[in-house]
Amino acid sequence: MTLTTEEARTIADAFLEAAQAIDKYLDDNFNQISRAEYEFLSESFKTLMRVSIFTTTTAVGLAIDALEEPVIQLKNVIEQTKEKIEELQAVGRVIRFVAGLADLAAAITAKDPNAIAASVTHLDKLINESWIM
Amino acid sequence: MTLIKQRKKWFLAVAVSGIVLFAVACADLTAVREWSKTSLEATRYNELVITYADTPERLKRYDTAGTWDDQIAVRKNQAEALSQILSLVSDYMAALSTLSADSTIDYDKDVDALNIAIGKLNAGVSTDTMGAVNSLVKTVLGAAAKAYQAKQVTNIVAQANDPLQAILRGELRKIVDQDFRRDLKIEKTLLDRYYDSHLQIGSPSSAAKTALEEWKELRLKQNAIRLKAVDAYLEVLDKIAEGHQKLYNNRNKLNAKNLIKDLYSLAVELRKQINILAES
Repeated sequence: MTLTTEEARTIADAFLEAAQAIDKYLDDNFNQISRAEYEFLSESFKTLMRVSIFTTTTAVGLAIDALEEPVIQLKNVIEQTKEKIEELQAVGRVIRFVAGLADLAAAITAKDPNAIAASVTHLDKLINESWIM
Repeated sequence: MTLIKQRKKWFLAVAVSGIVLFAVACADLTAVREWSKTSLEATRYNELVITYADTPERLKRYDTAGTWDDQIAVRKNQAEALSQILSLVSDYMAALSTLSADSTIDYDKDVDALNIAIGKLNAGVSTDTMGAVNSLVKTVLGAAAKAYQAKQVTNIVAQANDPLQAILRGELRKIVDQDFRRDLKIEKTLLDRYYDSHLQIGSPSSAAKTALEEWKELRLKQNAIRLKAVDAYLEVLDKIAEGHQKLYNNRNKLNAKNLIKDLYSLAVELRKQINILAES
């Protein structure tokens, strides 16, 4: 039977509470217990704390696994959002491309070789940046 | 009335009707944008994940016999996974902020450039007419883009809400509230016992006692700061979840006054928590 996240957390909490109970006992009875008893209880205290930490790590691992599905869903939504942003930004690129074409047409009409060359270079740059190509 | 004047009147009527229709459909996305920008800033805080990953390393001070190296390795991988989840929430907020930004649909400069280029064609259209057409194109294009933008924001918020709530209010919240908090309680209890046992046993000198007490105080203070960061981060997760739920509930009326007011209030509260986290 596999452990659930809630079970792991319950165990971690239980071990921490047990360790805290020993800690309180040691503080309240330090002058009444022998050195050997003190050492024994100290070691028990540390063991309980270690188990609590280890079970916390297990709980976090199980919780991360449980997040897998909503994470995938959110990733898909982010991809769609980026596509929508791209669509909105493409409108600007189309307008710039049409402006580039009109510029080239004007340069050809004016029979201005320098203006033609500049327009062609500009259009080439737009095409390389654009989703059109 | 001449044919040209009739056509101009007809065109103007259609354009104005279109603008009115678009205006009715348009939403003010400023609050969406500002709230998602603040949420983005809040989710960039990564210190709690690092604190969680480093706990076994810190606990080595107080329990040298423990086998901490395996824990350190496992937690390092978990920290990587948790950081990626937080980055995903950040990415969503960034994308939502960009989608709802005015700059995303600002085509004014592009339309101006087109106007200039057409002007060079010398097609016999007067400068005044070109200017009027330019303004009209900007207005109609801007209104259409705004309406489309608002619709996309509505769709994206509708799709994102379920998985986002599952993450923010689900296991991620429990990891922070229960597991990170327990880790810090374990550390506090261990360091208390460690310093108390050194103070109680072996009759340390006065100087040694003072030094031990100072170190204990320092470590307890660091622990308390980390616990405060846990509380602040829980507030962050709760406020982001609350804000997005409000967006979802009002997704068909994004310019509703109470929504804008609520989102601004949430952004202010989020900023307070961001400041607490920055100080921790």
